Amino acid sequence: MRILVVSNLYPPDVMGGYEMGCQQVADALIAGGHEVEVLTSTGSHHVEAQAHVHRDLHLTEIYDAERMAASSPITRLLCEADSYFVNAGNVATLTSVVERFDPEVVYFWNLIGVGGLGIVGAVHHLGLPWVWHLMDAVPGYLCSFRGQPVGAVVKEFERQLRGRFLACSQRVVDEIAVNGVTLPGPVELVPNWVRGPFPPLRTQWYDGGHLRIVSAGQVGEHKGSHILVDAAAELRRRGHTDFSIDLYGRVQDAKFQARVNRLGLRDVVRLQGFRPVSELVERYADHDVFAFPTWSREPNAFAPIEAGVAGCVPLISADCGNAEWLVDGVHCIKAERSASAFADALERIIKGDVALAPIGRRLRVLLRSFALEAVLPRIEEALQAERVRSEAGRRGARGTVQDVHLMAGLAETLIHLGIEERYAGV
Amino acid sequence: MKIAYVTPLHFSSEEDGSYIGGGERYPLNLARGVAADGTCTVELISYGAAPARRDLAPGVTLRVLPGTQPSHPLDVTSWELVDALRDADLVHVHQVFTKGGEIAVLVARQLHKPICVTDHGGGTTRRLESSGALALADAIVAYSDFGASLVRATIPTHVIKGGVDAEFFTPPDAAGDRDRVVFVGRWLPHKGIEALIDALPAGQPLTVCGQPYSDDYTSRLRAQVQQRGLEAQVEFVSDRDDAGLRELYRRAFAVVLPSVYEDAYGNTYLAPELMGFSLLEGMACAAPAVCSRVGAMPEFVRHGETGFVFDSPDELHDVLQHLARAPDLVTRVGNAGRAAAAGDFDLRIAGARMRALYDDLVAARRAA
Repeated sequence: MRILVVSNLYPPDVMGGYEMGCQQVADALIAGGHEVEVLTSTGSHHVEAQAHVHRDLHLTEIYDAERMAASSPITRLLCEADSYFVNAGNVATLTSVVERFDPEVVYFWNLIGVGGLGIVGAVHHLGLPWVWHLMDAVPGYLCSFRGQPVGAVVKEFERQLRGRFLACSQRVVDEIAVNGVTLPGPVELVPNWVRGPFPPLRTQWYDGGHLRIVSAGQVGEHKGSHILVDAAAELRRRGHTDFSIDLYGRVQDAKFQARVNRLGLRDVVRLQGFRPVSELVERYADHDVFAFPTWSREPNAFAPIEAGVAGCVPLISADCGNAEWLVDGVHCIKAERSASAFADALERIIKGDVALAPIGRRLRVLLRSFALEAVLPRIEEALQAERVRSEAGRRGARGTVQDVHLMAGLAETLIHLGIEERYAGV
Repeated sequence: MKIAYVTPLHFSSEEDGSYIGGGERYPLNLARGVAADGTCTVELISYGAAPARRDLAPGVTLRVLPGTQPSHPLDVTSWELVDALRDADLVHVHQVFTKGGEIAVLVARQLHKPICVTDHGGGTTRRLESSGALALADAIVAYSDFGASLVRATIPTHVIKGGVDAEFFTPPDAAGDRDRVVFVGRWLPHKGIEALIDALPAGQPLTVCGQPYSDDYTSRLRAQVQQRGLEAQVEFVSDRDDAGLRELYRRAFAVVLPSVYEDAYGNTYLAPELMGFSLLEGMACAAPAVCSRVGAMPEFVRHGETGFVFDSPDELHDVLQHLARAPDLVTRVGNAGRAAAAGDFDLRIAGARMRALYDDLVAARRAA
């Protein structure tokens, strides 16, 4: 198939697993014999030219918190509109790629920051089949403005668009629904995956003594880093001192280190900074438990399953997206998202009430089905099914590239004017 | 076939607060003409404070959508526009050079509808033209050659003149007294009403009928009448319904539209008149039409045959003087005007031409 992948970011420009996952799938599709081109933003890194990657989209500065904070309110609103609704330049770029590449199916990923609604609308108007891979509640964001869903936009999103969705968890689908958006097309849950050959199964499992806990991701409240620190303090209060916590990732919360110090945990909770995934995967082998007290909106993080491959047993929030794919006590340990609940779970491990070895072994078996080579056929099937469905149903009117170009320009102007008029005094 | 007309303001009863002028009268009349043969319906989609729907004429309904509150009333639109256009086979956007017109074009194209657009003058933006986005429409419909010449576009332009209801606006049953000069229109500076007052022959009555849209201009006109001692000759009336208008036309020996390119305040207008609806209504009532050589009006008035076209206030004075003293001329010119209005400019004739265009556009879209 000729597949056009559209993503706001693409490695080496990444925010997290979403973009890395996009690249992994794109590479796997190419390796599988598909003709794949990627349309993404210019990003911030100089990257050697790759024939199949077009870094031509403009990414708004919406992810640059400092820049946004320094902007005037009206600039922020215009930036938000460009980010979510329509960026005419990006639509023009898309249409030129579509004209040249003539994709059989368009494969959307994260579209925040590039005028995602306009991108999807343009593809829809051109009558091209599309599949949208969701590792975040992107459609919900794209139909919102100032943090609130825009009713008329939501309504038309649901009614006019028709495609296929691959979601990494029901949690993501539910969160989109909370924003009032029902996804317009079949939704298939496809787990996030692990790549590469599995390392040998570890032979040494935790059997008392020093418990080596690790966590990775952004260090911040939404990931539950503070909960983990408080759980460590609680364990100490209960008399357990033979454990350590290594936290990998950028610190998002300035108060975090102060909290660690205040609780006297400097020697227990060690901030290890950002490390590339390839390095993290190796380090997981040196730990017993991957503690992940993340928020309930967590779609389905890659890190816990990557740790699981290394035999590091995930201890996760019971209501996060990852929890949908793993069974408590079978493939992982689940806990309520609180310091006391995580302390309880860790205490049970320390006391030997919970054996990590059988959980770790079963998880390894399960993760074989989460390997990218196992997941990829489902993705290919979805792409193919949408291509065929769209071909069969292609009896309606199809818009022209010229129309799409003009419509995007007009829409962008009207949105800007509307915001400027409505929020002139803000 | 279901046609949707999108118009920011609709010609309706004053209670609705949406009666404006010919630009609003035209879509309604055209809709009636298009729907006249009973094979299609037209829904006039406009905006108001509250949603409403009612029948206006056979095959013609008015649907009022809850509108936004823009700084300029012509820029109104509604979040419900997509819903309203969804089932239409074709969308005709009236008053297209407004923000609401732009949105209507955008929505209609998004829904893959064939689109006609019409400029009624007095718009708020020419962005569609300057950006090239007017090409999103399939056809421009102008109601005069002059109107067509003002639009720069790459899509076909069709001129379909007329739209007057010549079955309603008719001559009196018996030749009655045509004893006055009549002006019908909005009281706005570009209408040049002060020139008409100046040109009025001694002793001839003038009825200025319409709505005051400028307090200053209205005061200026009244002061002019007072200064010239014409209170007994010139009356201002604002309370006429269509039947009352018809009676007025039937008593006129001249229906005058003295619009100007440059008004008394020094303001200039590119398109003061795109048709001159009241001239056609007057002609339909067999009143001689008298107009300045401005905008599209000379296209509708054949000088010396169905009316008179003047180039200066003196010429206007002479024409009015002549008509006041020559009832036979009034009858002859009036009858010729009536024949033109009924034969060329009636809403059913314009509607049939429009309908033929709609059929072509719908067929072309379906074929694509």
